[in-house]
Order: sequence, then structure tokens, then C-alpha cells
Amino acid sequence: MTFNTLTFIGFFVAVLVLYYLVPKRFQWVFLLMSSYFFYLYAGPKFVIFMLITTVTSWYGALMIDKNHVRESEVLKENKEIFTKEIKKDFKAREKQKRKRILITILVVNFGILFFLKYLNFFTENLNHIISPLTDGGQIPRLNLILPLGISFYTFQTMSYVIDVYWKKVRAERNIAKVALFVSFFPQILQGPIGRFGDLAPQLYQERKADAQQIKYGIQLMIWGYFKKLVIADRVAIAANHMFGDGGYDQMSGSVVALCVFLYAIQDYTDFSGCIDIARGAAQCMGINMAENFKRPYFSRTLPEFWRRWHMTLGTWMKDYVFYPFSLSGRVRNMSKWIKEHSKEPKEGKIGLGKHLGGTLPIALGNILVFFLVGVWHGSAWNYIIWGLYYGVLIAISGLLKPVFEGMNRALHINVKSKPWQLWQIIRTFWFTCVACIIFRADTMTDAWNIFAKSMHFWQLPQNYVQEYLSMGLVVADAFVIPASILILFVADVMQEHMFVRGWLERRSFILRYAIYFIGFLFIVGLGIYGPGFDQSQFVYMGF
Amino acid sequence: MSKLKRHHKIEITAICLLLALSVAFVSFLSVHQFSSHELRVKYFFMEDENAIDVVNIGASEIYTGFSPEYIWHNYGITSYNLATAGAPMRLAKSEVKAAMETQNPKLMVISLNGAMYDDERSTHEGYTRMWLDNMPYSQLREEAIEEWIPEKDRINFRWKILNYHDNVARLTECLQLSWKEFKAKKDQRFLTISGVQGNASTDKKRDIVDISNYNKERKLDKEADKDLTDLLEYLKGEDIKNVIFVNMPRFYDKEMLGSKEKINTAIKKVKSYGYDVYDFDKLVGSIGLDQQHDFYNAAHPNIYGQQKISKYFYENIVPKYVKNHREYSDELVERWNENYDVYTQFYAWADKVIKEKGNSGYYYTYKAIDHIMDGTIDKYEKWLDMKSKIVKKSGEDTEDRESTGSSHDSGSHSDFDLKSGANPDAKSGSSSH
Repeated sequence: MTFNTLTFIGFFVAVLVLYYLVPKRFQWVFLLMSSYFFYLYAGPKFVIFMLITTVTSWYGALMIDKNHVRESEVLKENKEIFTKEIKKDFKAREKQKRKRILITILVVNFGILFFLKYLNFFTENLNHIISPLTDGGQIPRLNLILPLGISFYTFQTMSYVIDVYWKKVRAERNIAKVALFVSFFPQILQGPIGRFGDLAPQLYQERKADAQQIKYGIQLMIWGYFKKLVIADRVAIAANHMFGDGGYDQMSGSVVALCVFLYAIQDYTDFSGCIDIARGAAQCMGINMAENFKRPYFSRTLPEFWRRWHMTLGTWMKDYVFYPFSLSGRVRNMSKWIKEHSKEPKEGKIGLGKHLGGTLPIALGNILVFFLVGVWHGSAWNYIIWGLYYGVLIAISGLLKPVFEGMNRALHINVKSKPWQLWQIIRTFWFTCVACIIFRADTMTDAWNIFAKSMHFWQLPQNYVQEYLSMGLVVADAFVIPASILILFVADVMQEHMFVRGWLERRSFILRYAIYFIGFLFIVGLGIYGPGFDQSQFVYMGF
Repeated sequence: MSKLKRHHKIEITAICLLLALSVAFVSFLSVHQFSSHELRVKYFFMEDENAIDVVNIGASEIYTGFSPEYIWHNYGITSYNLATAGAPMRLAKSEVKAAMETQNPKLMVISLNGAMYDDERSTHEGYTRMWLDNMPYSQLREEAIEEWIPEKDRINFRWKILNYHDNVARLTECLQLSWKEFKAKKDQRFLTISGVQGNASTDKKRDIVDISNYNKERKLDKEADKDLTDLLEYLKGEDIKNVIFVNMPRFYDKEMLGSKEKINTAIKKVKSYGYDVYDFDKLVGSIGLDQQHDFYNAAHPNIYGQQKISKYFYENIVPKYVKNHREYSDELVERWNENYDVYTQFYAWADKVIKEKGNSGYYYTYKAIDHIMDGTIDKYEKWLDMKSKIVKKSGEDTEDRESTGSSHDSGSHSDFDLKSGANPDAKSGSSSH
């Protein structure tokens, strides 16, 4: 039941109406039932993995929480008796117990994820290595199917257990409530990856229908459908032709570059469109889910891009990987060692050694984080290389920051000027386009060839009509695609400066409804939906 | 506060209504197949009730074989070709029901063409859609959907917009057709084609086999056999007697004999139910048909053949079943006379084209009719010539020109457009996306 089906729309309308009709104290129970219905609709056999995650995280978090309480109580009761050393020893022992529970939960849940998502990738690579030693003998490949949204709900649920471990949140005693947090239907397909502290209280809250929230929710859903159905699935036709089956071979450099651009647009509108639909659906029920995109293609640097793109995964990685790694004892010691062994800088200047000591832990943290982001996306080398591409670039930009700043000064570049900022946006977008090639190409050879060809973007087609048709587009697309991308651009520019839905509300009746009507006509008339469209699968659903 | 809430509630309701309006508008605009089949079916349901005496049911051999306007002018009988390209046998039962419900005709003529199709063709979505998607929403349509379409796909037939919405990309054509449909309903001026379609081409020279004594039989394919049996059982069960079956004329070469063998089996089966069957293959001589003059391919007559078949049929066969026609209103008579005028103009144009260009490949479609009525047929011809050159270069097929090669076993002729929802080769019946 993907978001772009009539079944989902019917389901959502029914859930929304019933949500406000059931007695308020049962609203969250109804949400849980609806979420399980939604998940079971995709296939009953997948639910077992979600149940394992729910039960283990509920029980584990509860055990950790109980241990926290017990520790505080024991310390309180024995405040006068315990010496500082006994207290320290007791705390260390209790922490060890909690750590054991946490590690068990993490191993079980990430183990399931690894087993289902990465086992075949792992064995395939292992087979490559051992094949010469085993005389061609191979470890058999298992026929595994990835349950819907497993990467999203696993990360979301593990953040809950870790937060309980860090005493950021208290454990939830009611397993059904944890089950709702894990399975909440708008986010189960593609996120956003919610945090227990933000999301859970909203899920359990009793609430009356709020017309403004419903209106804003509907508007956000409409915008999401526009992005997904009108833009993403339409430009996907061209992108699929170029990336699929060596289609780029027949295309000139300019057309390949255009297709790469269109794929970058597809990636953004597909994922962010789905998130808008999910957030809009939740907002109709009065639940505000975390933002996941903030006009990422307006970023001036790659770190900024990642603060605007898939934000909930980024913050997850920052909180649970980057900081624990960068602030770990060994990394801090390494940083200290570099600083101690580097030359004293000249007066008024920052020494490169000192800078390295300060930024190396961050650089290594970034490489690790982006390696994991790549792995999270899927079990293929291109995802890992894609992740490392971002990680290494961000690491280098951090490490060489003084060099770049020095160059800017030497060239008298006004870094606050608009043209420079525009250049930075274009440069960052180009880097993301290269990343898109790595992400989407079938093989690394294809990725390299596409990249090389796209760099000849001045190479115009010999036969415009033939090359245009070779992208799989029809005449009307030549108008629909630019028009819809222009609408997206204008809306994104507006969003940078204002709350567009609030702005819309202040417009005159005629203008407001004209915008609605045109939007609906675009979605209903020009959206790609209906029978026989493979593109209807959301790109990030596969992760 | 409550005023604010009321304002939001009104806006939510308005947004939902606007969405519904958009769906309705896009449906009205986009549910088109851009073909004469569409109009042939839609206009049938717009006809005055009980105003058609003879309804001809089948596929392309029907609308290229009978000219209702010619028949009206010469024999004073109203008739309609309720036929779509490549129509599988299973459509016939639904079409008989539709004819009975709206016209209660004096005679229904059912073609056996669909009996020779293989299973894939008999259940082909595209050919089925030509009838189903152009019928108005009704109990009859719902019955057909439930009978023919697997449950998981029914939603795409019930909500036609799912399949056709992206036709909006062909905005100009959509607007033209929607306006045409709107005007037809408003002005009740929709009889312009009455299902006729003609061709201004001639067939290539082939080695024709004499099948006047060819009685060999071949088993029908499963679906075709089932559908024919189902139709016959229905007719028998409902005691419908005003039905005859026909096998429209073809010129066979050796490769086509398999089709003839299936037709022989079907004829035998129909006879076993007590219905009359006319095998035109065996009447080619009596009708006076000449392969290279009267046909534009193996299974389809051109405008000359169409007149000869119509003449023979209405002089020798129809009078046996229709002793006298109904009383027609003055308005109806006037309308049919207008139609005949259009037909004669078309005939003159097609005659000129054949004489000048021989194998032109031009059809008498709704577009040609529009141009004749607008007095712009010369312009249209130039456009066809230009398009014909492009088609020759690209090897594509279009609405107005089809390869004049033999359609052989398929025996079909369609004026579908490759991009349209009616494209039988598009599994989904939708665009190439």
C-alpha cells in the first residue's frame, strides 16, 4: 500500500475519520491497530521481524531503566554508608550490566538487519575471496526478502534504547505503546527516523480534531504528491533510460548531463515528496513529525547539504556514532598527541599541526559516519563508495579549511558576496550530482563512463529529436518537466524565507483557490500513476 | 476562535470539493482513445431510443463492410455498426445486451470474426477497453467488468482516470474530443458516422486461394470457443430470435487458411443452436467483389467493396428478417439525410484519392468527417500526405494511415493511435510511460 495508490488514500481517510471518532483514550490503540493493518497489508510474514524488534527493545529498555532506578535508589539509601570508591565501583558494575543489556539488544536488532540486508552481499564478496582456495566452491546465496522499512524502524527503535541507556528518556512500560512507536504507519515506509522523546508523547496524546492542523496536513500531502507524482516519476523516465542498460552510450554529453541533473531532481523529489506525504498524514492527526529535508540543493557546502538532506538520519548518525566516536578516549588521545607534537605556529597564525589535531577526530568521525550512511542505504559497493565519497570530501574540506581560506584571501574573494555564494551553491550541487551518479549507476564502470560523458556537457546532440526521444520522454514532457521544476524551485525559494502554507492562507480567496486548482490539475492530470508504472515504488522504500 | 475554526473547516471542505472537481474535470478531458472506435461506441449510446433497426456487431470487418448512410439512402433503413477494432468474441454478448436495452432492434447481425482469435487475443486488455471504456457507467458495464477483468485490475476499469489521465499531455486533442463529445450531447448531432469507416486504398496483388468448397475445420481456441458458446447459450436462454451471424468476406491466400478452418467450426456451432449464418466468403462471386479493386487488404473492403457488400446484404438477406422498418421522426430523417450528404462527400474524396494515389492508406475516420463538414478536406489531405512521408521514414503507424499489408489471421483493422489509451499493444492500455 504505497502512498501513491487509491488504496492508501482510502485507508488514510478512513483512519483519519475514525481516529477522531473513537473515544480519546483509545486513539493511540486505534493508531496501533491501523499501523499494524498497514504493515500486514504488505505481507504478514514480515511482521515477525518488527515484533522481535518491538519486544526486545521494550524489554531491554525496561531492564536498563529499572537498573537506573535501582542504582539511584541504592545510592540514595546508602548515601551515608558508601565510600567514594565503593560508590564508583558500584556504579561501574551497574553500568556494565546496562551495557550488556544494551549490547545484546543492539546485536539482536542490527543482527537481524545485517542478516536480511547484508548477508548475501557479505557471502558474495567472501566467495570472491575464497573461490580460488576452495576450488570454485561457493557459500550458497540465501533467498532473503527485506521487510518493509526495516532500516528505518530499526534505527528509530535503537535510538530509543540508547536514549534510555543515556537516561535521556524513561522507558515505556506498556509494550503496545512501544509497538506504536515502532510501527506508526506514515513513517514506516521511508521515515523520517523519529526520536522517542519527540514522537512518542505525541502518539499517545488524546486530542480533538484541529481544523488548522488538518488543513496544513492536507496541504503538505498535496505538495508531497506533486513532488512525487508530477516531478519524480516523470523525470525518472529519462533518468532510468540513461542509467539503465548502457543507455548513456547513445547519448551526447549534454543529454547525459541533463539526465544526471534530472536524476538529482528525482532523488530529492521522490524522497522528500514521500516525507511530505508522511508528515502531512501525521499532521492531520495532530502529530508533528521531524523535518527531513530543508531545501538541500541550496546548500553552499557539503556539510550544510547533509544538515539539510535526510536530516533525521544525519542527526541519528551525529548523536549515536559521530559524537561517541569523536569524543572517545582513544580519538581524544590521538588529537592530543598530534597537537603536542606539532610545531608552534608563528604569531597571529593557526598552525596546520594544531589545526590537524583539532580537526582530525572530526574528519575521521565524518568518514566513519558516511561509511555507515553508505552501508545503511544498501548492500552494494556503490553505496559504500558513495558514502565514502561524501565522508572523504567533507573530511578533506575540514582538514584543508585554512588552506582554502588562505586562497580566498590571496585571491581577494569576498566570501559574503552573492555571486560567490551562488558559485558555492552550484559547486555543491555539482558534487551531489557526481554522488548521484555513483549512487544510481549499475556498476562503477558505468558510473565512471557517465561521469566522463557528463563532463562533456557542451557536446550538443546531433539529432535533437532522436536524442530527446531516446530519453523515453514524450513531447509534452518538454513543457511539463521544466514547468514543474520551476514550480518546485519557486516554492523552495519561498520556503527559505517564509512559512509558505501561512503565506497561502493570507492570500485572497481567488488566488488561493486558483493555486489549489492548478496544483490538483497538475497532480491528477500530469501525475504518473495508474496501472503498469514501475516507477510508483518510492526510491527510499528499498532501504 | 470558533470563527477561525469554522474558517478552516470551510477551507478543508472546499479543498476536498476542489479535488473532486479536478478529478471530474481531468476525467472529462482525458478519457479518450483518440480513435473512431471511441466515438462509434459513445455515439451509439447517444442515439434516440429505438431509432435503429439493424445493429451490426463485430470488429473492423463490420465497420469497413457496411455503410449505414448508403443503406439509409438506398433502402430507407437505419442501422449502426456497433464494432471496434479487433473485438474479441466475448464483447458480442455485452453488445447484444446494450443493443437490446437501448434500441431493441429488428435485427442484430453478429460477426464471427472473433471466433478465430487465439486466447491471448481473445482476452487482450486493449481490445476489450475499446468497448468497455467507451460505454457509459451502467449496470451492463459493471457486469462486463466483473465477468472479464481479474479482481485486482478492476479498479483500473472502474476509475478510468487511472488509465487515461496522462492523456492530458495531448491537451489540444483532448480538448477537441471533449468539446466534440460535449457538443454531440448538447446538439444531438452525433450520427455523423453511425459507425461507418471507409478506406481509400487498394489491396496488393496476392495469390488468392479459392475457398468456395473449402470445408475443413479446426478446433477453436479455448477462450474463443467459451465466449461463442456463452453468447449462443445467452441468446438461446433469453429466447432472442432477431439475430443472424455473418462471416464477412475475405480474400484468402494459403497462409490464411487456418483462420478459415476455425470459421467453418464456428459456423457449424452456430447452426447447431438454430441460428442462420451467412458465409460471405462463399458469396464473393455473387456480390461481385474484386480483390484488387474492392479491398484494401485481405480482410477489409475499401469504399467500393463496402457499397457492394451493403447492397448485397440489404437486397438479399436483410429483407428476410426486416419486413418493414419503424416509423422515423422527421428530425431523425433529416439527420440521416445530412449524414448521407457527408458520406457522399467523403466517397467522392476517397474515390479521387484512390484514382490519383492508388494505395493511399487513408481512412474515413472521424477526423476526415470533421474536415469534410468544415470544408477543409484538401488541407487535411495535404496534412495526411506530409504525415505519410514521416511515417514512411520512421516506420510507425498512425491514426490515419496503416500499413496496407495483409492483416492475415488477425483479420483486424484498427485506427488506434500508438500513444492513445486504445492502443491494444499497450498492456495497460495507457501511454508509453
